Amino acid sequence: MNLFRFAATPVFYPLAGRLLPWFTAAAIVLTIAGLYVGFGIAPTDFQQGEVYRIIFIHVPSAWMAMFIYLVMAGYAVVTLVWRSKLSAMMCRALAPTGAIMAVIALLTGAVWGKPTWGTWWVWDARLTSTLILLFLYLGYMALVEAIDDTTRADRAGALLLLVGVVNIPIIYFSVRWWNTLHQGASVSLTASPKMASTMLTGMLLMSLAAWMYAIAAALHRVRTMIVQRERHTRWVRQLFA
Amino acid sequence: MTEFGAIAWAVRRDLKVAMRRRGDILNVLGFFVLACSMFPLAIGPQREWLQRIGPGVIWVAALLSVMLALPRLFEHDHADGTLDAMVASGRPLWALIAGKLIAAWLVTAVPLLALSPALALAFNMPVSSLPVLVGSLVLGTPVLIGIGAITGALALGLKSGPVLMTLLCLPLYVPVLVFGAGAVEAQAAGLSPLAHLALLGAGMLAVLTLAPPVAALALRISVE
Amino acid sequence: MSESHLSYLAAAYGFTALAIAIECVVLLRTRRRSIEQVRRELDLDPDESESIAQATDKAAKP
Repeated sequence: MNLFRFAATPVFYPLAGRLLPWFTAAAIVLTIAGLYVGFGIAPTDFQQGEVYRIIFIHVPSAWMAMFIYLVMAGYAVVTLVWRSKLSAMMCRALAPTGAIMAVIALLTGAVWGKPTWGTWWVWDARLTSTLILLFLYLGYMALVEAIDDTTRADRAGALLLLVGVVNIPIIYFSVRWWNTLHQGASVSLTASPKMASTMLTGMLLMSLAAWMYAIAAALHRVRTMIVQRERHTRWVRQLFA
Repeated sequence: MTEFGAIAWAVRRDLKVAMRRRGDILNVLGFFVLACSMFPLAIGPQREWLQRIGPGVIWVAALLSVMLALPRLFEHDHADGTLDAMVASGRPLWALIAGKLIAAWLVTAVPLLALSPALALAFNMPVSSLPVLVGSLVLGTPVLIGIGAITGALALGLKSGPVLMTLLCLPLYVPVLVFGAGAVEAQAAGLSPLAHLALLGAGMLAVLTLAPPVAALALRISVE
Repeated sequence: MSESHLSYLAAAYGFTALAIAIECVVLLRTRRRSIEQVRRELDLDPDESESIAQATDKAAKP
């Protein structure tokens, strides 16, 4: 089977349309399962009481923000090396979801920090790195929006993503270094000494849910992008005639 | 034209252009001094506080001063078509860019380096910290300029260019700032700044080798 | 102590739900607008766009 066949937009468009409902359903089912485990089964934390249950959003969203960026970087490589239009569109389709995941991670982190550590913001390594990741997302989105020429926007964004992804380990390393030197913020929001296995299960389920959601949102966005970019072609027009 | 010849040509050309616009250098220095001066004005002149924040303030001000000067790297050449000619010419683009970056460093960073000891003393920093300050800036400013070249090439000719460049550059600048300011603070705290400086040095080497070709690719994307 | 904390829990989950909801609404709206644009252009000039369509189809063929 020639997989490259699916890179042609007239083929990918209906395929994405058929996959969408499945990913949406998976996201919903996994969310329900995750919340059930997180609230119904996982025990009350000895130190933090009920409020620790924020991790069932905070950790999955932080993981997804990072993971989506990596996936985007993968598509960026395909865009630059094989000049694939569909890969470029997948990059742009994933970006908003990744950015929103980062925002959710930051805000839930703050909301968790206030009752737990007494402050709305803690400059710990993970949160600060997530903040910088958010700016990487916003920079990417701003760049591709600012360039009118589609090909230039696709390729410029791809290169920016690659520069960003190479820098992420460096940024994370430097922020962790900075954080351990300045001992003030030595608390970590995710350092729960003992994670009950049910808590981990809950986090895992919610992470999978977030992943399914991200795929569904990206597929939906790509379909819209294809319609937008190829609205002059006959196959698109015949879809909506 | 050999690679080295291309680099030398670009350096000479950009230095000549910079000499014609000597006001730009004063702008960079002026901003540097002003930015540093904002802090004592804002938080008060207590010597202990200034000494504590001095390394960070000077580093941030230097970083911002370099960043503000970066759009000029490609702006003028893009406006008068020289950039298109450079890309289309047979000369190795990475070498031309490397030359431009060297010239930019000489024109933008060296004045900052020269002025930084004076500002450090104004912040009541000990004389023993001055070599580390200048050293960290020597190692860090090429990285700032290299990253700025890549983002400047990507944002070439866009209406929101300079502002967009800021958003693109700053996240990537964070490690440089952490290690640069950290080196000076380590020295001030009596610890060894060598680890910080070594990391900065490694970054500088990486940028020296990678920035010109990546920026060349970015230019081709923007121009072709 | 845990009573007041419940409001933080609610805030976190509530905000997340809101963010996802907004994202979905924007998704659907953007798609609707793109489709409307296609329909509009179809009504305006079916003949002229046909030739553009033909040209793009020709260009798209490997």
